[in-house]
This record gives sequence, C-alpha cells and structure tokens, in this order.
Amino acid sequence: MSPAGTTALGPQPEGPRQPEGPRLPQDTVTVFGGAGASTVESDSVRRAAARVAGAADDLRGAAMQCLVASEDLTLPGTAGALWRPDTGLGPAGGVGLAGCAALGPAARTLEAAAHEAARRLMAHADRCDLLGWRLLRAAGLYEEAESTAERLVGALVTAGTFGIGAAFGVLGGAGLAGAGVLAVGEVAGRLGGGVLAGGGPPAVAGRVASAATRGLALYTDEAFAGLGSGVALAQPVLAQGRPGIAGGAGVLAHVARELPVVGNDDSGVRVTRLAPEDFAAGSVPAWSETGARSVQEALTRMDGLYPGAGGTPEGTLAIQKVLGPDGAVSWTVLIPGTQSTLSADHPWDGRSDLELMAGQADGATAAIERALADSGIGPDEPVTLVGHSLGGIAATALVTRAGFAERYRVGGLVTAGSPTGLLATPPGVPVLHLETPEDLVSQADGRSAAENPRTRDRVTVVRSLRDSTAVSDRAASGDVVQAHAVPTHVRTLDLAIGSGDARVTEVADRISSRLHGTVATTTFYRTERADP
Amino acid sequence: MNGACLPPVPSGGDPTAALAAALELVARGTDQLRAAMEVEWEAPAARLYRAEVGDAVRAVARELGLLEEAMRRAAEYLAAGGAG
Repeated sequence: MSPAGTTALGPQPEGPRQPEGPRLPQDTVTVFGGAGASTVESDSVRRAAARVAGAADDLRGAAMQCLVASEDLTLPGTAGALWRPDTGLGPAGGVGLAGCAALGPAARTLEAAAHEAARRLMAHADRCDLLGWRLLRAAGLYEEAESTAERLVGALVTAGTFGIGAAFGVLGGAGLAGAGVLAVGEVAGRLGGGVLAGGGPPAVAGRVASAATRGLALYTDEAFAGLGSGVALAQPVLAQGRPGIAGGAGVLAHVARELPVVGNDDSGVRVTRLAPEDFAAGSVPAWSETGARSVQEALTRMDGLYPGAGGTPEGTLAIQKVLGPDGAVSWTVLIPGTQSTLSADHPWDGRSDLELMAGQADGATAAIERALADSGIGPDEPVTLVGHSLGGIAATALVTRAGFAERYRVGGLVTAGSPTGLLATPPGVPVLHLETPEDLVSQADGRSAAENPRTRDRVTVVRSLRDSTAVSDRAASGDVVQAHAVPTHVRTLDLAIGSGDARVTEVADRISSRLHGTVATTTFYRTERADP
Repeated sequence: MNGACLPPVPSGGDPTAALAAALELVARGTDQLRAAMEVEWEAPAARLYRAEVGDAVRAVARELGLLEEAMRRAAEYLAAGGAG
C-alpha cells in the first residue's frame, strides 16, 4: 500500500457503504449497549469489513471495465475497421451510439454479455458492502450518525413544543388537560390525523395521520422534551421546581388527579386474585401451566392480558412461578400497559403514566408490589419483569427503586414500547428494551433509543419501521397503534436475534433461561384504585 | 465511493483490454473476499457473515468464468475484424 493508501488499481477502501433507500426488515434493526466484541475481535472485524469493502470496490471497478468493453464495441469511430459486413460483425465505418442496433450478431452478443456482467458485478459489490456493514453493526462498531439537518430540525422541534407547553401551562387546568392528552403518547397519533386533516374525509385524515406519524417519528423525543420543559416552566410550583419531562409530567399528573369529573385522586390500590370464572372465557389462559421458552413468548403472553384479548378483566397482571429442571424456582411478572388514557378505576391509566414519568408515587408500581408480596417469592428466587408501555415503565421504576433489589432478586427486565431512558438500572441485571421511533411512546421521556443508558447488561433494540421494505412494516410506520403493539416489538426481537447480534442474543439468553422450567403455576391479579 | 471506480476510458476499439482489467479486478476482489472470511469472532453474526461471504465468493467466481468466456469471444471478434 502506498503512503496515500492507494494501489495500482485505486485507493484502498475506507469501509463498507451504508445501504441506501428502503432496507430488508432485518437491516432496519439497530442495537445499543450490551457486551460487544472484545478489542481483539473488534480489530479482526474491522479488518474483515475493510477487506470486504475492498472487494466491493474491485467489483465495481470491474463492472466499469465491462462497460468500457461494451463502449469499445458500440463506439467504433475509434476503430471503424471493426464493423465490416464481411466479418459478420457489423457495418463498415463508424455508426456511433445510434448505430448499436446495426451491430453484427457477434458484437451484439458480446455487448449484451458485457452489460450483463457489469450489472451482476455491481450487484455483487452492493452485496459485499451490505455484508461488511452488517458485520460492523452486529459487533457494535457502526452507528448511523444523526445528520446535521436532523439535529437542526430536532432543536427547532424542541423550541417549538417548549412554546406550546408553556402556552398550555399558562392556560391553567383546561390547557394542562389538553397538554396531558398530548403527552400521553398512546393517543397522540390517533388524534393527530383528525387535527392535522382539519376534519377532512377519513381516507384523507388517515393518509395525513400516517404521513405525520412517519415524519414526526424522528423528532418525538425532542417534541416531548420541549413540551415537558414548557409546561414545567409555566407551572413551577406544581412542577416542584423540577425542569424538563419530569417537571412537566408532575404538573400534568396533578391535573389528572384533581380535574373535576374525569380526575381520580384515590391514592391506594387493591389487588385481588382472579379465579377462572373471572375471565370471559371461563378459564385462565392455556399457557398458565407452562413456562415461556423465550422472551418473545413471554411478551406475547403479556399481550393476551389486555382486556378484550381472551376476555381478561381490565387491570390484570400475571405472576408465574416456574420450577426448573434442577429444582430452582424463578418468577416472571407480566405487566400490560395503559388501558385508559383518562384516569380509571384501575392504575393502568394515563395518570399512572404521568406519575411514573414525574417520579411520583403511582398506583401501577404499588399494585405490582402488592401482587409480588402476595406471591410468596423467596429471597433468592430470581424475578423477571416483562412490561409493555406503561407496564415497562412501572417495571423499570420498580427495578431502579431503592430497596426493591434488597427485597427481590431481579433476574431480568424486558420492556417493549416504554420510555425508560431516564432510569438507571442496577448493574448485573440483564435488561432488554424494544423500541420503534414510530410508536411515539418510547420517546416520551425526551430520549431517543440511542440516548438510552448503554451498559454491558442493558441493551436497547430499536427498529425503524419507515425504512423497511416489508409492506406490514411500512403500514405500521404510519399507525401509532400498530407501531406500538406488542407483536411489532416481538418481530423486532425476532429480527435482532435472527441477525445473530451477540449483544441481543446474550441478554435474551440470560433472561429466557429464567422463564422456562418443567412445572409452572400462574396467578392472575385484578388491580383497582381504592382509598387507603 | 472509495475512489477505485474512476470512470475508465475506452481503449480505442479493443474490448479485450477492458475485459482483461475487469478480470484482474474480479480476481483481486475474489482474493479479498476469501481473506475477509477470516474473522476472529465466534458470535452468531460472524458465523452468518462467514457463510454469506462464502456464498459471495462462489458467486463471484462464477462471474470470473463468464468474463473469461467474454474475453475469448472478444479475442475471436478482434481476430475476425483484423483490428487489434
């Protein structure tokens, strides 16, 4: 290699190119945190990626040469003698590009072969770049940078929503109630269509809502950060002097408790065991006597705890006890998310969302603690918490709460579509967060997935649905409900594990080893708000 | 773009020169691909990578065969046309 990094056939490669345009679904997954490759392994990966990028460049160079060979046939002005009828190769004299059709059969065959070779070599080159790029990403050595334009728009969104938040704040209770509705992400997209379309026809509203969801997805973290800061600044007493998201959420939580008619200021919770006849189907879910074999299965089971899916009553959570083959006992807690945007008679509502974001006492974690206490969990028996949306925030809040780790041995934490970036989980606990920017909720803490804390034990897997070639992903990217749904997050984890990313498989394996066993029993709890 | 693909210039009616350059580049690229399979990393992603690069090596090697065939035809073509 020359000092300038060039060879006789061109400069040495710098690295594989990032794929442009829509990507295969597995290439829309990005992983942050986790135990990446060692230094030695990283060096080896970089070398391999550079080689594969070098191969890509060589193949592109070869493709160009094939096109040159083709031009040598079709631009015979430089060698007119080639095109003589007596050779059977074409007309005599120069014909230029317009004369291609007049080439003899042998020349035409050769030209077609050169073009086809060029096309195939370019495809191989793109494939090589993709393989190198995937390798670097799987080793945690490649990260797409936010563009300058995206950072600029993000700053403008923060500033703009700060103003909106402050305006809502100075309007008092009614204005804050409006801001609260906006802040609870589950409804943001659904409202967005109607607001942005100005009450137009449903098809137009749908398209506008989809476009808005896709367009806003990149900037929802900045939007929530600005909105929260604005509200907190306008109501410093209710925000208790705390700036940003926590202060703003504190103000809105106050409104959710105190607002006439729709508010609910019950400060206690009641937890009762459910019997099979409490379920609309007259029986508990079929999986209740078997342990989950994977994190994906645990997430899917949790999705079944939402009301309407299998007739589960509102405000239900499940705790499963599993006996492993070695006789070891472990526990899994399945916690679904928000079931009512407004305050409800159970703690899976918008009020708990806001109280958790504000770091205030909340009904959701209180209910989980009650259920855990009722379960009879032993001090050395690992407990894995699996939560969606509000359930994920509550689970993370519990794991990070002082004293919880002393009462329970936390075996793992899984969240899907939950804003958890402001909470620091304890070292040694395997943590897996699943997010998509299009679900809006994950970024309600004002942080994108890239800004979540990254440690050896804590992995965030994010998937950009809008970048996918899959029709189902594209559809979900314009629909907050679909983007936020548990199956979308399960697919994200499937794709991440399928890609062989060691950071994801390592943390998922650690967690799933605690989920399955030979014998399992599940207790289902109804949770309700109540006066203490 | 890493700069290795600067647009080459037609070589004055002799397609064999460009095809020879293409062959040389594909051969070098194949060698680089084979070398790229060596990754001291025993992660599932590395195993997938090795397998896929192995597939790529075989696919590119097939292109070598096609290019050699094109080269042979181009030589015949030149011989029939009497130009070099």
